[in-house]
Amino acid sequence: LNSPVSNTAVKMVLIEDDAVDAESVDRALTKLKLSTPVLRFNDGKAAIEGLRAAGKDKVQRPYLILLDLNLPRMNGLEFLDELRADPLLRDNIVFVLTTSCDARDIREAYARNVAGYIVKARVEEGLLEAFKMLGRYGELVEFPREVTP
Amino acid sequence: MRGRPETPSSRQVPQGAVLSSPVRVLLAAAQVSLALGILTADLWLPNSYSVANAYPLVILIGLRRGPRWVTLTFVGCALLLFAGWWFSADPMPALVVSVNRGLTAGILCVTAALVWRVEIVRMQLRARLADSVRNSELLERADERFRLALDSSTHSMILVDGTGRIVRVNALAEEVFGYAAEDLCGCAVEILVPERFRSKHGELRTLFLRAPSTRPMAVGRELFAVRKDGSEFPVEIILNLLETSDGTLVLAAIVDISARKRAEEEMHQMVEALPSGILVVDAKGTIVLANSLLNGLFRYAKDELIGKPIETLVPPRHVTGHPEKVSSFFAAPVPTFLGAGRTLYGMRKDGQEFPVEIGLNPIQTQYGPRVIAAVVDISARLRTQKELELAAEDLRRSNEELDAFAYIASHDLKAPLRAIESLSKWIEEDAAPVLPPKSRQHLETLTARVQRMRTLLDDLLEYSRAGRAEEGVADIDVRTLVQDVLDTLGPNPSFSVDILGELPSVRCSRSPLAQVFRNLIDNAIKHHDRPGGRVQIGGRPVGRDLAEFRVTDDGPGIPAEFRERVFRMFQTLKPRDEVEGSGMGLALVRKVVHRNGGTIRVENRSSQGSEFIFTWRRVPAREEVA
Repeated sequence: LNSPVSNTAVKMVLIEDDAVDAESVDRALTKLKLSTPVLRFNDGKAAIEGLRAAGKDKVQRPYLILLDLNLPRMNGLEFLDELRADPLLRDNIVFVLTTSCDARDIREAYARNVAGYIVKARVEEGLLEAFKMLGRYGELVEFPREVTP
Repeated sequence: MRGRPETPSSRQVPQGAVLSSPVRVLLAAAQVSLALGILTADLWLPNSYSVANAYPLVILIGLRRGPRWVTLTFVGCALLLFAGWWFSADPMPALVVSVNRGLTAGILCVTAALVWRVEIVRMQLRARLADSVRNSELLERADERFRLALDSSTHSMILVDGTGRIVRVNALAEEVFGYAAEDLCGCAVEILVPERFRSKHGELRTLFLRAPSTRPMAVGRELFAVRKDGSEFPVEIILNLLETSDGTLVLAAIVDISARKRAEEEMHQMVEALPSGILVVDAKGTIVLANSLLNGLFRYAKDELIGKPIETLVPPRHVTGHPEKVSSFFAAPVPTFLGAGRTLYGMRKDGQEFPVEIGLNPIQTQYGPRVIAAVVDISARLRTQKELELAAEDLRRSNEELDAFAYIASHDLKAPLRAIESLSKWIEEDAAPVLPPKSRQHLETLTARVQRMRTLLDDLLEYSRAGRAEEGVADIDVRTLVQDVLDTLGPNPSFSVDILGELPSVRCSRSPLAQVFRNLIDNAIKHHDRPGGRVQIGGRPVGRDLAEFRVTDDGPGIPAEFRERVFRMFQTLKPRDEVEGSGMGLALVRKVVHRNGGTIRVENRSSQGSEFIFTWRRVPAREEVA
């Protein structure tokens, strides 16, 4: 029986190669006093492998993917292609979190059904606002769940 | 045409009667009176007088009046003789009278017969004489006509007999060769042949008589004739064989072809002087002319190609089918350009090939249809074209690299900058309690420099992307556009920005023009020497295609020596610590204006401040054609 489940357990999957950027996410969450767990992958390839992992390594849903575009090995757009082609992962909610404000990147990202495209603001306050929004989003929005066998 | 005027024939063809009518009447009267006299005497005188024997006299008087008159007078005389006998009162014995009369009648008959015969013979003689006169006249006329025909010919005509003696020449021949007709007639025709050909000429003449044909003489060889003064000239000769009662005659028509030869020579010189390789080919595909440029192109010696088939110059793999192409060209000759859309090759004497372009033009010559082929060696052009293509490819690649670089500059170079900014901020936050004031100040400067670096990168990116706007063109009301720009710049109460009068409307992409106005206005405010001032914007159409806009400020102005420099990249006139700026703003403006096909310059206003004037296409270049 599918009773509504609280989203308090929503994790953030951060795909980001820059340690400083990753730390700024941590700091923003800390400042907002959000206890959302963050699972970080260094690039698209590591992320897709991590999300496909089974057994005890399996990343339990619900989670929200925060994706940088410019990544080594497999960049953000390639990761999205892979994700949307995977029947088990295609339904995931992805926000792009990047420094690129290139019109082509924005168009290409939305073409791959991202939920939002967030340009990392220069100043930290901007990032705080973004995470305030993402925290609220995680609370309010129903996420796709594991299919219980 | 030369010729004596034809003299009207003075001689009438003789008629049957020679005598005029009065004489004839007189003679007839004489005959009648004589006959009547004889009759009277016959009647009155006795028969023994035999007056009647005078009757033949009457007939004799009628001589030269024709046989019919003789018959008539004979009949008259016979009747009178009979009448004289019948009515005579002479009582001579009848037998004697009869014999006498019979004798007289016999004499009369004989006389009449003789005279009649004489008349017949006379008439025959006269008729024959008339015929011969007429014949000689006809002959003379025919001869005259022949002379006229010869004289009217535009060729020199020489009639030569079977032994090579000149029989006749026309007036033109006299003139051309410088001889009088009398000097030439009777001479051997070789007098008109240059000495060095004379002996040969005799043989050829004999050969011609043995196998005669009406044809040009010595086709393909050059013939010469010699004048009385010894000068030679090129000729063309056509021989006609005339069979006459005087034997075989040869009529030679001689054309002086000096002028034609000269024209040909001039044509050759022109062909020689043409700046491309020229070939003339006949309908069989044989080369009949090649200029020295062409010989040089294909590495042949002068005249070496003459008489060779055109395929000599075609690479072996294209020779098959080439003669057919030549034939089909001559079947429907139209000027043709060969080599469009594909590369043709010519083959040098050593077998080496080179790319050519060929223009074909059919011409009609006295020798039949020909084609003039102009051959151009296009190796150099193809090489240049290839180099250009490579250069364009290089340019395209470097543009792509520049694009990639701009992207990297915007992202990869900015990423560490962001990190530095974040880290310095975190140090400032986390270490605030222990940080000495000097370090705090250093951290602030660090942040400011990071900011400057970021601006530089942003502006550089914008510069590299300038003019590559993807948005479509639209009709733009420039006043609204400037107003929007002012709104985005944010309110600045100490500066007034005024739009003066009507601004011409333009059709273009919106953002490049907005960028130009934004940068110029921003520039005017940022570099003003006082905290407040005025910026004025004006514009007017220039011709049909261009609009001119002016952005004028009342700031410090720009010294003349810097007016070019301000438009260069990374150029500022003040230290960056005084006025923050990347030095990219005006460089960007100029690039955008140039991309749009306009120009920009800056002038100092007479009183104070500077004025940026730029032109802008009113219609995009692509639409102008349509």
